[in-house]
Amino acid sequence: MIAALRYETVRIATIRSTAVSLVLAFLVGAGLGYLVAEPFSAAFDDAGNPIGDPVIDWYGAFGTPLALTAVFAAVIASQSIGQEYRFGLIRLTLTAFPQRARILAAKVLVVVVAAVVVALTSYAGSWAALAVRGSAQPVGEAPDPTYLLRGVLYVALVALSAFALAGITRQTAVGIAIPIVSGLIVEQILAAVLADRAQWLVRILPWSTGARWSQPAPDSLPDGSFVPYYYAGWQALAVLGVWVVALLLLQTTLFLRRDA
Amino acid sequence: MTVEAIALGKSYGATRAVDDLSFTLEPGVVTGFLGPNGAGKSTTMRLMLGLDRGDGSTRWDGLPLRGHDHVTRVVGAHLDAKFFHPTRTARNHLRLMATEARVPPSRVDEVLALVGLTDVARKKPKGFSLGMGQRLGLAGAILAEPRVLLLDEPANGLDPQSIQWLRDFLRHYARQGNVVFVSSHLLSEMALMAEHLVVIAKGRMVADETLESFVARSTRNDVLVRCVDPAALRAALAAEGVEAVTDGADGLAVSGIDTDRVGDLAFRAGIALHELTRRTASLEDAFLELTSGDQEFRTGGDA
Repeated sequence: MIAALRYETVRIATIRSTAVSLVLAFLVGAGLGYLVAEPFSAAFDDAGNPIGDPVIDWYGAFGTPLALTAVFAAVIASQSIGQEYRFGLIRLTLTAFPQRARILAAKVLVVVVAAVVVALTSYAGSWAALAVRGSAQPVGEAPDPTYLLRGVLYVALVALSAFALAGITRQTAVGIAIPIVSGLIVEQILAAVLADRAQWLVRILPWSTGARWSQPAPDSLPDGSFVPYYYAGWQALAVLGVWVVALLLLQTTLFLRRDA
Repeated sequence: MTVEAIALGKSYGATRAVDDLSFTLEPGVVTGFLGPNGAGKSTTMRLMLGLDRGDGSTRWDGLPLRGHDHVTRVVGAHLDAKFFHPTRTARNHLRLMATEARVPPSRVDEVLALVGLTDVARKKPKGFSLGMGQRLGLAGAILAEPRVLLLDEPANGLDPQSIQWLRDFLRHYARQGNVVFVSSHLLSEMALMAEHLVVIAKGRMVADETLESFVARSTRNDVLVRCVDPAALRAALAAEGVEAVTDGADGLAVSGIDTDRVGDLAFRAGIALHELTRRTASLEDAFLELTSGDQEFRTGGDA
């Protein structure tokens, strides 16, 4: 297993797009973080004049860029399996590591580590932006200790979904495109169409639900019934996590059975 | 180390691409793997390596490949000249290949020098020619000094000097006690390189024997004899039960008999000879003759 992990680490570290993705993650974290960290007034007097000290969306400065950062992690993840098929390298890989489950496990682990590094790099960019704004420490509300962790987990889950899709289809582009296109377009349309007919289905759409990782969960439906009408926070991550597990299981089955 | 392929088989839908192939690769000799296009050579190699799912098994010193600790020290495979990432430098490609068996970086540089890629070691292989790709693939295969080399058409795209180098290298590698199994459609090269042949057609075994005995099976091994009276010599040969056919204005092609006996018969019949030559079939002659019914594509006939 150590050899397989070493192989995957060297493989991911010796293609330029990995370094490019990390640089972009930092720049996006810094750029969007700086824009989100624009100080604003939260309270006003009767005449409409701001009162009190300006506040900044400290958590938003970290969390907002992750929507794009997750795409960079998805690129690295998709390439780690899709390009193996595209360039025939999978045959070299599986010759050197005939125990397929072992090399696949190594790939998954390295993708997770890479996604965490991408997320932390984005955070570093955001922190730098906040430092420039003069607010490198949390201000305002008490810090949510799990917020940053949830963000990292979200990026890792998007990366794993991209990895699984690229592995299932043996296409890098599919792994990158589906989480984006589905999350931003297809699931939004489905949510609009199915809102009244199949609310349960709308609640478990993978990428649009996962993207609510940063939001607080609503308590109940607008009509007062007990079930929340969408999942958010940890629940949203759990929904995406179940999808990721299902995709990885399908990918593993295919990877173990089909010709290289 | 010996390699035993046991009852290998593979189907694509209704087509049986490889059918019950069994053979043993011995160390010390270069074994050539021949077959017409579509005969199943590449599929067989992939089955041996466990890359394709199919019937049968392959034993590498009695064990399946996954039973060995460092697989890349057991087998080095080169299956295609384009199996590399276009933006990963040649040196990094070999560093990657080196990880499984913990091959030191110095060996990477050594192998790059051996295949003549030192000057482009830090270049991206997307601009490599076919020949350079072959060299990089071969470098990856020999990197961990495996006891078995399994090479699919490694001479494609190589210039004559490189082919000669490859031939010498593979024969030397085999003589060190290693197994070398190489497919090629360059039959003239195979004739110079291989000592043993595995020949398949339509996925089935045609021959598993030495190059010499394979070529000897061809009916194109004969004796050319030119003389003043071919008809008289033909009659003299027929009287001895030897068949001869006309070959040119004053010549006969005689099969199943050596030059000494033809000379003796002509002498006894009082026929003066102008030429007496033993003609040996080439590997190409033997290959075409013995696989003539199994070509996927034929010239001059119905496809």
